[in-house]
Amino acid sequence: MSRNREQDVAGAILPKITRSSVNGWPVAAVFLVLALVLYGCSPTGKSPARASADSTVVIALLGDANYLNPVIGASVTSSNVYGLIYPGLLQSEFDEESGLLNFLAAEQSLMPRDEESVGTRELPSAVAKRWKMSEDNRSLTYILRDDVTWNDGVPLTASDYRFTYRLYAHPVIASPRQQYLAELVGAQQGAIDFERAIEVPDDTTLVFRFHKPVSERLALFHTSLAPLPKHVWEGVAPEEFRQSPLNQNPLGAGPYRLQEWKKQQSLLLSSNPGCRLPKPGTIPNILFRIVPDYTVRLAQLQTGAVDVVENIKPEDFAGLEEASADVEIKASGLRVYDYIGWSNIDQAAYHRDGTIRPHPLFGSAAVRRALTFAIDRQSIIDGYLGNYGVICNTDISPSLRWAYHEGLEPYPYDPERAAGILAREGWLPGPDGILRKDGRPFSFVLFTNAGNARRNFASVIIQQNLREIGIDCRLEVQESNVFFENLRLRKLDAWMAGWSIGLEIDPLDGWGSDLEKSRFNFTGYRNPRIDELCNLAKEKLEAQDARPYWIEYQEILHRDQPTTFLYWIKETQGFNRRIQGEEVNILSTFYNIDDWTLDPARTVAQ
Amino acid sequence: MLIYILRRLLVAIPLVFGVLTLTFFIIRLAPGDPAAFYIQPGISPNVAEQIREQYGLNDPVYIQYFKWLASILQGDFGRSFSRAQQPVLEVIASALPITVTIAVLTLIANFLLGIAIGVISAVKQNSVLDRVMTVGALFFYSMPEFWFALMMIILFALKLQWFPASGLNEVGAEFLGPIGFLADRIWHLVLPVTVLSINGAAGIARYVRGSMLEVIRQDYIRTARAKGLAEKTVVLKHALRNALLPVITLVGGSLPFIFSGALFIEVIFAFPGMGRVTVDAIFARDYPLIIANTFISGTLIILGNLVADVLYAVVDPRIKL
Repeated sequence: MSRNREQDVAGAILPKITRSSVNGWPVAAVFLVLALVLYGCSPTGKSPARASADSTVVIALLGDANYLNPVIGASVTSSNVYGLIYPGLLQSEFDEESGLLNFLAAEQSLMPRDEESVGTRELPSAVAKRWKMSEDNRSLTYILRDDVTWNDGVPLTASDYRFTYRLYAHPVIASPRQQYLAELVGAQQGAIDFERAIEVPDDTTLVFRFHKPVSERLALFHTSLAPLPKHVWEGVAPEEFRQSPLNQNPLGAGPYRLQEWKKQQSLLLSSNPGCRLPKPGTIPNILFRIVPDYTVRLAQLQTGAVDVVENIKPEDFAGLEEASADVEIKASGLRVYDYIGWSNIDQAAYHRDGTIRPHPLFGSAAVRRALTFAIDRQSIIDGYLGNYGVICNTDISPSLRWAYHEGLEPYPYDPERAAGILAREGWLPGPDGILRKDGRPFSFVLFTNAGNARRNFASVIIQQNLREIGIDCRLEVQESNVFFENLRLRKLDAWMAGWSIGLEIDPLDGWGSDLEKSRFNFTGYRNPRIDELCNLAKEKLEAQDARPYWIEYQEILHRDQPTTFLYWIKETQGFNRRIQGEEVNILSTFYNIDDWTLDPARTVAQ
Repeated sequence: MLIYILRRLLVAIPLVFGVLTLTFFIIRLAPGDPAAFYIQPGISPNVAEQIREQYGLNDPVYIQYFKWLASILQGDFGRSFSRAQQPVLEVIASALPITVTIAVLTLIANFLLGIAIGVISAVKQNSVLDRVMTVGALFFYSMPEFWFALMMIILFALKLQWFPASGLNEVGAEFLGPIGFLADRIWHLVLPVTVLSINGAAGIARYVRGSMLEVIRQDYIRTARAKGLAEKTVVLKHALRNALLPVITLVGGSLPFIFSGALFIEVIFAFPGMGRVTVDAIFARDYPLIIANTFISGTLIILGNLVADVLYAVVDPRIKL
């Protein structure tokens, strides 16, 4: 039974009360009286609130957006919202077939679009009409549409882009997207030379120049950051940039505009009638509601109070089905994986004087392989993720098909083989059953962060698995801030965490041999061939040409097991069935939200 | 008494100040970094450094302290790190009304319900009614709030669908007109206020019952009865007034709760009140917001105690301040 949108808010209560038995519970009686009073208060006749429910899609969010500004907006929530408000230079698409990003301008696309993947989206939402990469891959010229205006009627021109790129680069503004500017002329010396790096010959021509040859895909990716309206932001000093009220009341040109923002409660967007990118949003209103508690989000999805809830846990699918809620679960690609990190190096020695020597427990690749053999990854998947988990071999996702190594055999669960390898490495059972080598027991603490049910589930199985081959693993949960700081400072010997991968493969930060530079190489793994391969791959101007390097890369990681890769997680989103035309995508749940429609027939009583 | 109040207030100033100073140093000692969010792959390593510079966290701690001191003395609590650089007082100003609404409603319900149940169980001591009420009160009192709240949501929002599970208003409530809007707001407040007041009333009922039982055995109650006064007058006028004395301390003690918010209820029912502000600030290591919250709750605890003491003197002529 889903909440009835046909009747007005309080009116919906009455028939249900008379139907249910009150059982003499005094509290219920109080409710009854209250409900009747409320019923009397509510306006009769056809309610405008109902009409508004029919034209509004409600999306539940865990937390609020912060800055509605593409330069400084940092959270995914913020970018989901400002992405609908600000005009994109290009539209990016994920090509399922190859696993590569495709970029579209109004009249051009990087890769041909096959009819099926186009879906409902015929016209791309892009300010650029077309682009031209120079022969030497050192400059990129865009031709912009001349008919796009900001919501105040001022035309959107190439100068807006150049103006905004200066803001992206400004150190006081501290944009989290500075990395996108790393190829522009002058960036190699530390300061971008904007006179040469970005040129605007006329209002519809925009030229980017790079200090080295850049692949066309990367160039398009890095030059298509969203612009701010120059005429509005010009007067804002960099020191004041983050405090500007314009961040809370943005002037955009996209398919939606901000209607009302009640901080920490809700954020209402309404379709922007003047939008030509390519058209105003189809659903008149999008309401983001902040509902911090997961159980409540789930309950509201069931009752129809909200239409979209992200990251539904697999354990709740059955419940949703049983309640015969009008909800559809959709899964997107594999972007997130969990792993157990083993410190490859002796962290204490490294912190003391920078010497690098193998970790007494996890220093040997053979031991790490044995640990992977010992852990029953399939059981964790079967027990928690079901069809929404896939065994993970390395950090290159199976969704990135152009680079993924199909031929790697996952290590099976084989405790005997694990014990055999450990025995050869000198780890033999002691009197208490715990493995020992040179008197040192194989005993350690596995750390993880608080509040992740999936990791809690996995860690218990892992502890049990290791126990069976004589390894003593204690579990410790730390508050997230503390955990990540310890991880960053390389203070932990063994831990369980996860990564969400970028769609461009650039893993040197996580595995590079220079431990000072590779900030995310928490394990201290060092293999010069990995550095080489990453750099070779980066030099290729066509992504597919780098495939051989990535294949070798995956083979090495699989062999060395710097961490035990556990499983990829399919993120699952719940949609009310009254939403039509939604396409869930590895890029985002809301990838084509401006094309969604609401089916009023489904909102009427079922 | 006025002098007493003034003296207490004067003593309170260094006390609050000491609490703030302690908080200032303790949160900076805690592991974690307000700029930690910007340390992730794909974000230039410079960004976290630039953010820290903006927040003034690159200075030595004692310099940070003096800078903070200077702005606090001018009444400037700074801008929030985690909430888009909003001035912290604005953040608090937007959360307070919500928290206060819920808390005032809850307190009223708490005391009315609690006193009523307490008086009835004391007057009918050891009757079946008293037993039922005592057990019932204990049952609710020992129930964890968040669990109770979730059960209420499952029953009333999911199964019966009488009340909404969260939020302050329905989608499109603005179109209902002022009365409709208010009705919609009350409709949203029923579940959270019920959860909070059932929990709290149970405790107060136990208190009132105990204190009532003591008073009812006093000689002056027997005298009142002997005078031939109606039982109602005896209980409500003579006994209750005296029995309520210890309950007054509870009123004072509840003051900080009014402003500091009920965290679990705010999270579960998605109300953007003070409890959530405080906890979000702690997890985000939002130093200015944490300090401002400490200031509010610290001040209120001190004021609450003062109010309780003064009320005591007002109600009980035997106590002189």
